[in-house]
Amino acid sequence: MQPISTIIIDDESLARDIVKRYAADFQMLNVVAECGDGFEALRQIQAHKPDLLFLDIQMPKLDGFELLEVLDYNPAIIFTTAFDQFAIKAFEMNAVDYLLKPFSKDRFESAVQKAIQRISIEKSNVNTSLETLKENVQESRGTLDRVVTRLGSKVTVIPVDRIWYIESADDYVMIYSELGNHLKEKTMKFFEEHLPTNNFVRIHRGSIINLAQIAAIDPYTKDTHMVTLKCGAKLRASADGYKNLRALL
Amino acid sequence: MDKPFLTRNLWIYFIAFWMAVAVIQFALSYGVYGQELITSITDSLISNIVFAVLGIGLWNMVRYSGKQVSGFLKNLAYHLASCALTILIWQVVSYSFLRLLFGNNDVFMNFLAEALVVKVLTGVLIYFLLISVDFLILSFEEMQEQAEHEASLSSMLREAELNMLRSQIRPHFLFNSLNSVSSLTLSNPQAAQDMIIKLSEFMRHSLTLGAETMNTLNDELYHAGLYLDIERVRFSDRMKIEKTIDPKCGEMMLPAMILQPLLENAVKHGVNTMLTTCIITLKAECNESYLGISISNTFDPDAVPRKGTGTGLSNVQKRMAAIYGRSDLLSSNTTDQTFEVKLHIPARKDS
Repeated sequence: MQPISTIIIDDESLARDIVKRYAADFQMLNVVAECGDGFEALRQIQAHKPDLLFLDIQMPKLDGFELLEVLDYNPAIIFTTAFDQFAIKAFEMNAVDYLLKPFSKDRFESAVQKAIQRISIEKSNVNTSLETLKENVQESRGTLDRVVTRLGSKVTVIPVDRIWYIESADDYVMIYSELGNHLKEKTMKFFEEHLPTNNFVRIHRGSIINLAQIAAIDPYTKDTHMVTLKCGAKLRASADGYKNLRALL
Repeated sequence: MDKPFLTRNLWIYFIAFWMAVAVIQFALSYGVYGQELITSITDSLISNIVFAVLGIGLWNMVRYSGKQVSGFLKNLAYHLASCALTILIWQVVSYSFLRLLFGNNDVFMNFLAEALVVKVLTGVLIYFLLISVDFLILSFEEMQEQAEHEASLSSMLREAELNMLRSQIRPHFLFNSLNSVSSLTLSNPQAAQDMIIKLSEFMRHSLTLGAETMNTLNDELYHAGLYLDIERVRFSDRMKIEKTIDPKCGEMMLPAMILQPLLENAVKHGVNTMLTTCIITLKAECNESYLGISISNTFDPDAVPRKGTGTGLSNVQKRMAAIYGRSDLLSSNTTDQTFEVKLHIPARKDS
């Protein structure tokens, strides 16, 4: 079996250091890069396409969860985290393993063994563990405070209060915001459930708006209304949508 | 909830009271009205034992129903009725007993009939005396209960506040620090030992304080320094500390660990959001009436504010308000790239 290419991602150098030292004793592991933040990690992952990531969750700019969200292939993942109840729940099933800091070399070794197993199985058949993992991440995160999108190698982090509105577009949604228009592979239902409910409202099957962006609401047809946003967009509110809207105003 | 209807002490007073009344009645009957010794003693014993037993009933009435009657007139009517009933029962019962015993003693039976008016009037007096004392005892007990309740509530609040304060030392900080120690034991055992000692000293300080503990600025700065040293081991060149402390402020008092949540905030919103070096500035100035402390950190203006902002600040604000009785002692100010919190600590005479 070929050595497993590995990237270590953690914002604390001593934390990367100990993973590197432990890893040095395993011939199977080939550490190709170490990164101190999510953006750097994304660049290195694109460049090396590693088989395995040691990934911290809390990091500046782009955290471990958000990094996973914008990956387009399935590396095996071992989380290294100090204290994160959500992580423990969400990843019990789908991450290869999670190491609670500080961890022993024995504990590290058993995680690596699991990763080796997982990777050798994955190489023979396609599986969707990262997809399941991503879904679990989202379910466990509760209310969103920012949305990460990616186009090619460009990653954009959009704070939710800068979102104007969201429209459905087949299997995707289009997010219209101060930072431009971004396509995201997610359902309207997901955004309806995870955007802060006192700021966002679904006014129609196909649109969710930011309340702060409303410029005017006018009657349109018998049951519907037309909502005009500050950015100029005009969106139709269905009878139910208008009811939701009224409840919040 | 239900209390024994009288405590031991009150029982003693209760019995003493009735013995005194009985002695007075005996003295009047025997000494003033010249009744026989045996009838005087029996009369006084029977009347007063009966009234005393009724008195126990009255106590229960006051305790369980007296409070429900509201309004002065209603209360008065209620007690007049109850008084009449009490006296009626008292007289009927004691008269029946005495008649049973001395029915053929005409002198005594005449005396009883003559004394009836005086007895009834005295009975009314004693009735209202008893009721007043009962009410006094009751409200005294209520007051005590309330005081106890308030005391336990305020100590609960203080405990909650303290827990809040302690939980400011986030598990994240603790476990990440231990992880750094774990890493250093392999690469630099001496540094690992230094860090363990600093961590222990810092934890000990934070665990022994009380919500109202006051401390000198020097001591607080020492422990703040331990905390920042530990964080600097974790983040190395990602954070820089700049201190401007007026040395003459060193012995001024401030609430223990009050700086800690502010420093943790500076690390959380500064170092944890920036890829470049975060500068944390610590300043202290003072005169005879106050100590002013400023803690500021640089931050990445593009960083998206994360959840949990503000709880640290409002905890500090609440604690300052609880200690000094003023809510204007904390202020904060955000500019393009720095966030600054200022504490205004009034000077206190106590040391």
